[in-house]
Amino acid sequence: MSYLPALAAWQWALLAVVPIGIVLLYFLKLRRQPMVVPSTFLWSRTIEDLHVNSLLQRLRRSLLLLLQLLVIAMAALALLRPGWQSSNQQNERLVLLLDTSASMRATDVDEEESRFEAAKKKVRERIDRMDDTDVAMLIAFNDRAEVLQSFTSDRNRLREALERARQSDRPTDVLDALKAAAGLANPNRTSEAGDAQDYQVADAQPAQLLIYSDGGFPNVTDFDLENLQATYIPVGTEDAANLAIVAFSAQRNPETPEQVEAFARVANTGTERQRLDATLFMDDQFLDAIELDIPAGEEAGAPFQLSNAAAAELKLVLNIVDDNGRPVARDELALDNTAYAAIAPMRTVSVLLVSEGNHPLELALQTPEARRLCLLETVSPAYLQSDAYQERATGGLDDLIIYDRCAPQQMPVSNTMFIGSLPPAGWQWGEPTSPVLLIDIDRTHPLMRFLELYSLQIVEGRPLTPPQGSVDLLTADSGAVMAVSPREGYQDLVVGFDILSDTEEGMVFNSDWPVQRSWPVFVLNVLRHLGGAIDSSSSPSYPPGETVTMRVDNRLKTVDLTDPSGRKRTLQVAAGGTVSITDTDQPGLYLLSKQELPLGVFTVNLFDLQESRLQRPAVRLIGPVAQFDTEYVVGEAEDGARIAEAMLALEAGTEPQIQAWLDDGVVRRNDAPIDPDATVRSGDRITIIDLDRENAILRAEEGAATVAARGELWRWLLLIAVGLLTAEWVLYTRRLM
Amino acid sequence: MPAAATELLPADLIARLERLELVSRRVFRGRMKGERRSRRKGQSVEFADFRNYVAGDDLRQIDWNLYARLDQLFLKLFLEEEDLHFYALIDSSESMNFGDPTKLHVAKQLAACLGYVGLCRADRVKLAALGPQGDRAPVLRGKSNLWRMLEYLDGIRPGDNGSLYEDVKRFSHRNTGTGIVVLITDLLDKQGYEQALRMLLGRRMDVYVVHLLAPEELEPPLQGDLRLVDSEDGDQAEVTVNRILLERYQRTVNAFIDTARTFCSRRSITYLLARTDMPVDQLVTRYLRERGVVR
Repeated sequence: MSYLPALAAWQWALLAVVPIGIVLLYFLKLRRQPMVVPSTFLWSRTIEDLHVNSLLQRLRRSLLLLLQLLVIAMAALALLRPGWQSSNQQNERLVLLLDTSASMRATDVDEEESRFEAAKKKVRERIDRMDDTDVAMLIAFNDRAEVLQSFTSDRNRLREALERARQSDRPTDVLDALKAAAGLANPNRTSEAGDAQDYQVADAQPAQLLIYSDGGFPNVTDFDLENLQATYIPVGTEDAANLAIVAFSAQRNPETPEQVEAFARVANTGTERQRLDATLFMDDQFLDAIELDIPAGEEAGAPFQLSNAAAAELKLVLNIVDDNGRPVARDELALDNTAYAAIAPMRTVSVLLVSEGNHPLELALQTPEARRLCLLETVSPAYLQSDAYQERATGGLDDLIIYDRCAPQQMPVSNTMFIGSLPPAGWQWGEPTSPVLLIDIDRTHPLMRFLELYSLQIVEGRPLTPPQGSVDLLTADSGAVMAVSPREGYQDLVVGFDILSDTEEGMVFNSDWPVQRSWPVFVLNVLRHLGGAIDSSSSPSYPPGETVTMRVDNRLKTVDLTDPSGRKRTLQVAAGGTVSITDTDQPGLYLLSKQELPLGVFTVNLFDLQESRLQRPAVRLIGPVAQFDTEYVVGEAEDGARIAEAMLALEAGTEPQIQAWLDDGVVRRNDAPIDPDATVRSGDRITIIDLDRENAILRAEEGAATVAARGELWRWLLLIAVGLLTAEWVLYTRRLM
Repeated sequence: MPAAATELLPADLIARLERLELVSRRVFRGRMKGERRSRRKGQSVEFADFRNYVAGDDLRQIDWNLYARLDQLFLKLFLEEEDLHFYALIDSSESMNFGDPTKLHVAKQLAACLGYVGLCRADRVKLAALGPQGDRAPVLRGKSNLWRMLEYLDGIRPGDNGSLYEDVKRFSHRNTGTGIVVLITDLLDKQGYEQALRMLLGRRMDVYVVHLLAPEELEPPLQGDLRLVDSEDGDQAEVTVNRILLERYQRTVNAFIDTARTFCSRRSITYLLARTDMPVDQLVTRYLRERGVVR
């Protein structure tokens, strides 16, 4: 028997005063009011039969006192929390992980509506099998984990939590769920170190981790489950077929903006060749259709050409059924058969150029292409001191401000570009070096796309020391000479060399960049990406559930968002014109508008091949789970051979063994079932599933882990105290009635 | 008329009492000639019997006419008329000092009424408190002694907390004559009242017991946790008075009264239960009359 006192010392002292008080009050109460009567003769005879014996009488007299003291004693004992170390209190600790990702919508299960319903049924059955002493926790996961019910032995609460689980359209990330489960099941330390008040450190306890999933996630091998014993309980079939749109986008032709190119990729994740039509709708009007013929496990492109200058909504639909409703192709998941894209009208960005005069730059900003993108205003550096500038800068009225050989006192609320000067804070540069020899260009950055700069001549430049988190775009022998750095949602591009330099002879070229072809391209890149013009020319697509950030005119306080179901919500615009949209679970088109005036559009599409690949993997590796299977990789020598021959050559087993495995259907090629007569290609993975795997899962489900638990008495003690209190009340009222 | 006397015996009651007389179920020998017919033959105008003369008889009672006719001496016997000894014993213990009016006061009133009836009928009346105060009780005869009687009654103070038996014994030793005894008491004696009553019976008394109880004793107005203190011996009883206890007390009181009544009726003692909240004139002129104490 051990105790876990629940009160501090002074609280115990306070509690100790209570019984003393009761005794004192009792003696005070004992001083009965004297009352003179003619004779106690009759009274004595009345209470005579109550005096059966003096001990009982004395007890009876102080019964109330006794009861009160007992109540206090029980309460004190309950607060001491007496308990004992019991071994059989909790047989099992279960962590039930329920996959709610998009692939669980697949309908390849026989009895149930979907894999999700089938998984729910399995979880429900597991909950029903729980003992009274078992505890379980329920976590639903897709690309994030949600604890629906923390550890409880109450099966009804678990069932209610299970009913709360909702199918989502999100992709799968089992790692998040595993971390949540491991964190809850392996509490290394729940108390604060050095906190004298906090003395309850939960012990890490072994638990069963049951993953009810279709396995639509990569193997998780670098995750330490510690004392979680994980079991993957597969849902769905191993040969589910699916056709999925894995990419769909529409972009205006940069040459002819009224021309729009839409391009989709359709994947066939099944094991059979499929033939079907894909139909393109614009604003719900039929526009075009294309016939697709996709071999098993491969993808096909679906290009569309259309002309439209205005905004339009595009929808691509795979025609799984014909006009009579007969299926023309096998498809178990409907979610990825529709994809959305949007084309928006071009938006002009507002650019403020602060310069003493930079003809090459102004020229580059005035090309026909650039004119379509931007509205340019040129001012002299003296303008930086004016109130008008202050208003523009703090209000963020410009999308991009270019400071040519000058710098503001304070950074504006917009993207900036500095040429031959530094932002007022965070940036440093070294001594000028001459000449500047370029040694590296970051071509992957959107600002540097299509640029060929190695022939660039720069007379003088200063190596930059940008703040942390920035990207070096152009590196010379002396260091970075061009870098872009993020700043609270904005970007600052700093060019460490002048284009035009002020000398005693007047303006001279510091570089030959303006006469190179890459110069206007670079300026256009700056306008597109730093000015934000690219955002408006095509609509981005996000996976379901992702938080989308859009930029709108920062003078707006609120904007309206229309989601795919037509529901309208009003969103707050943050300072700087950003809008964060979180509720993006539903695939489709989301439109931002203000007073019916469209401001921006984005789409939510699954576009996740992993999610669309429906074949339930035979085995998923999660830490130590299911490592029973033997795997072989087909080499060059066995290329094209029949599976049995290849396995024999790989020394997987004897011929009868291999034949038995093939007959039993435990051989998988690339995690998919294989026909015994099929051939293998070089690089194929051949897996022989350990038959014991299924048994292992079963054993894991039936087995019971014995966990040391603490048997507690305080509930009973409190119950007794309440009972005593009731008895006291009854006695008291009986005495007075 | 002194105030105390008026209180004990109001004038209008006196007028009604004069028409009453005390009833005795037995015929007692009186000491003086009175208004009652006696079993004794004696001197009166009412003829009773003849008997032979024996030597020593009063010659004045010989019927000389018979002697003349029969030449034998016969004595002519007449019915004797005698007086009645009437005693009223008042329990003056401290327990009688309860109630409103007090039991003692009602006892005095009752005694005064009965005594006055006796005085009117020329009975020998002695009203006495039990205990030492009874020693100086006067023996009274004739209406003229009413004031003495009231004076004595008025002088009785509560506080003689002797046992009933001892007090009755003391009375019996001092008063040897037989007659009517009306014992006015609350019978609340821890040693019991039985012996006292037996003692009176043994003295060949015609015993009446007027059991006086105050309403406060029959239905005590008590509630809660109390320490009851006996007014006589200071004995204490701690009780928590609740409905159940009150019911139990009621049963005890009823049983006490029943026991007393049964005890008395078995021994030809007239038992009368009187409540102090009953007006005295009604008590005497109606209640006692109905029960045959007076007529």
